[in-house]
Amino acid sequence: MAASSRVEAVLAAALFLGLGMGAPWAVAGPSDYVYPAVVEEGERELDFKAGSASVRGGGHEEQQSLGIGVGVNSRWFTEVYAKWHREPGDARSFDAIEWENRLQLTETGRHAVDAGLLVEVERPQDRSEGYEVRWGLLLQKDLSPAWRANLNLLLEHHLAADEGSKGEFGYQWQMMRRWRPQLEFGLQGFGSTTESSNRLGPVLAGSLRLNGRQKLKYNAGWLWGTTTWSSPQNFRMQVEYEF
Amino acid sequence: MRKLLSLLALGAVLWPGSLPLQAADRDEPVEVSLRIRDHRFEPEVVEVPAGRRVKLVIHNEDSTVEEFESYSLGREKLVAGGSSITVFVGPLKAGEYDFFGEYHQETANGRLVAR
Repeated sequence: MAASSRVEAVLAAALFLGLGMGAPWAVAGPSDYVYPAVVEEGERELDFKAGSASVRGGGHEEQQSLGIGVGVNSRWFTEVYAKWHREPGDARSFDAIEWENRLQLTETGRHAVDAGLLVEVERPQDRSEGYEVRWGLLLQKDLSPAWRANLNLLLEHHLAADEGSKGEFGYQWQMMRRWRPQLEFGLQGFGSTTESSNRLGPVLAGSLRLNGRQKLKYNAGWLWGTTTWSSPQNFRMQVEYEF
Repeated sequence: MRKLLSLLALGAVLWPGSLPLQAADRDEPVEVSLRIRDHRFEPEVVEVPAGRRVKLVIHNEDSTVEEFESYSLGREKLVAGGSSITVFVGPLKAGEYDFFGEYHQETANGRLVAR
């Protein structure tokens, strides 16, 4: 088998295994989004994300983040976020600073599957939580010019926290139909091992071209929990201003 | 049972030549060259075979940066002035796929025609 075929076979195997394991995963917040495996060099963006999830027992949990990101080169995208959070019955408060890094491992379209690596570090405002590190494999495939699939396999753990915690596995997946730039539609899902949560539902996405290279991109999804421990309903959205 | 299925899937993928995926990988992409000069693509219309992967090699002969972008191909890639990039697309169904230069959209337009 040629070297490139071997790389693709291993990536495809990871994809098969990820689907086959059916683990009750997740690493998930109400405003989570599906990380793309592909990086765009020169991209600069302001990024707003928000999510609201109903909580069993009543009320809603909310999360918002505001970030600024840049595609440093054709392999590396980096973004810094400020995050806010509100538990049911509490006031909204500043929650954490987060540093997201996505590394594109393969050239887009060159292999059977495009692969990337996520390395994300979060410093919660509650210092007793230490540092939250999330990392994992990002996989993306154009099934045709119209259909795109993503599967992300993630691991999250805390470092330097007052209380020890086990690592947490998570997944994200998405299947999108590219219809026109302003409107694409599909399905997406998020899951986590900690509370055997699993959420899935429809998503809309698109981009509006403004002046010159400026674009407004959006995606929003309505997710339903499929397990006892999942949030019954979760609305999540993201708006990016590219300049 | 799920573990068994996962192991079977892994075996199927790694077994040499056992999947169409690997056969398709051996299918080298068709290479097509484009250049950007005076903020225009040359040629503006490129024919490629349908059903094959295509490797576009884009040479930017201008001194200014350009971005190759195509919604229908799902690609967006920066090409610095005086440099080259490669863009892999396909396999494509027969049809027309528009592309443009994001920095000079009024002049830099082209089309890939898959037959």
